[in-house]
Amino acid sequence: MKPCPEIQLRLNDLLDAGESKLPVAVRAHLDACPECRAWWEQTRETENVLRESTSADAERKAPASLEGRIRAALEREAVVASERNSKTGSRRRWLAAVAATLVVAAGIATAVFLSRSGSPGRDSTPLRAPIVDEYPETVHPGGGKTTDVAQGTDAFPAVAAPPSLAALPSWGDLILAAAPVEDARQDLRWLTRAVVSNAESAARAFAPADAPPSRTN
Amino acid sequence: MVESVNTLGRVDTAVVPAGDSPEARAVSGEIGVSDIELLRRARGGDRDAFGVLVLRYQDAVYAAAWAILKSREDAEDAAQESFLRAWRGLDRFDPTRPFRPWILRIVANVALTVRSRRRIHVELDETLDVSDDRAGGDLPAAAAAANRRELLDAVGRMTAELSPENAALFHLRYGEDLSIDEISRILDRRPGALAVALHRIRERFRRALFGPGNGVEP
Repeated sequence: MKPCPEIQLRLNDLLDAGESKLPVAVRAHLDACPECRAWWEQTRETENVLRESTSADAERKAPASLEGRIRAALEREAVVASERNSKTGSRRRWLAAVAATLVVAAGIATAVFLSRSGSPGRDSTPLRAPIVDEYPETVHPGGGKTTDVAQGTDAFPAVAAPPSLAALPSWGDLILAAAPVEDARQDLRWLTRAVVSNAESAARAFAPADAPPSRTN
Repeated sequence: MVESVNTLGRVDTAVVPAGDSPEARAVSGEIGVSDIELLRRARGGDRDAFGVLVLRYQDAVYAAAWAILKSREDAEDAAQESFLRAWRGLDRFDPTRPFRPWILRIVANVALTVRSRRRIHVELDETLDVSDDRAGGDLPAAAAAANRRELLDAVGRMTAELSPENAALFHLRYGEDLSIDEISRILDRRPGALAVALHRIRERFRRALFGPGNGVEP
């Protein structure tokens, strides 16, 4: 059997349609061409057999145990997800504590650096400026004047000493504070207080001393 | 047996668990609830709502897996894995879209992956070459088919010889009664290529059924 190729192509697209819904030209051809008619009827019957074979196949029915298996797997999935979330939460708390520690450490390192090298950019006035006109001067009748340095008063104004660095938390304290403990939130509160305290101490240490008023001759 | 109309307008049937088990009570309270509502609840973490969807679609999912894998044990594993993937992917699924094509797409992917692994394994073992699609070469049983039942059994044995991809296409077309466009979306293949593949499959079966010596009358 060799159906006409063009009709075969069109009929393939029309398999889902009933005989009555075929285009008039196609129906006319089927009436006139026995080979195409035979092919068309065999193909439609093949479709019926194939559909029937799948619906009649008892092996395609899900076994009764399948639904229970899937429910049990969903339960396990929920337990695993819960455990995973719990682990992720504690890991996040631990990371938060480490991050807070690093911030504190960076702040302290900056404070130490600034305390030893001055505070560039803030105020160029030296902390200890000699005030020359505090020294006694003698004006001679013949002209000229001398300055008695030996009898001069201490021209260097007193500058308050910076607070001792020993007051700040040690590295050991910070590392201990960052270690995962039962309630990381307590650590975070403690670390926050430490940051604020350090910042205040640093601000006091770096405040420039008041320069004495300058006098001119 | 429970019947419900899904979002495609198709009537789904599900076996209700017997007795007074929690599952039975959960399902009996969900008869008539739409897939959309069940999907919304399942997205909120309601496992019972998802369990009702499992009951509604387990036959379709298992049948698709079995059509491709031809093994009861593998088909059960694939069906279970498919529902688990659907459960995990609910956040990404739009509940207003039909569930059936989505779960069929998942199970087709799962089963074809399992089958391709199995094929690699077999080829490595060099014990059996199942890569050739030998279906449709002959249907000797058809000629001697004393009744329709025998004929259908013979067709069933022939479909077992289809390649995994053709088995998926065959099942979606004749088992699920889907159009080429719907199958194209599920298998992610061009409609034209699928139409050609389906024509070849059908011709093999037609020749086997009606070829010389096979006297099946339409």
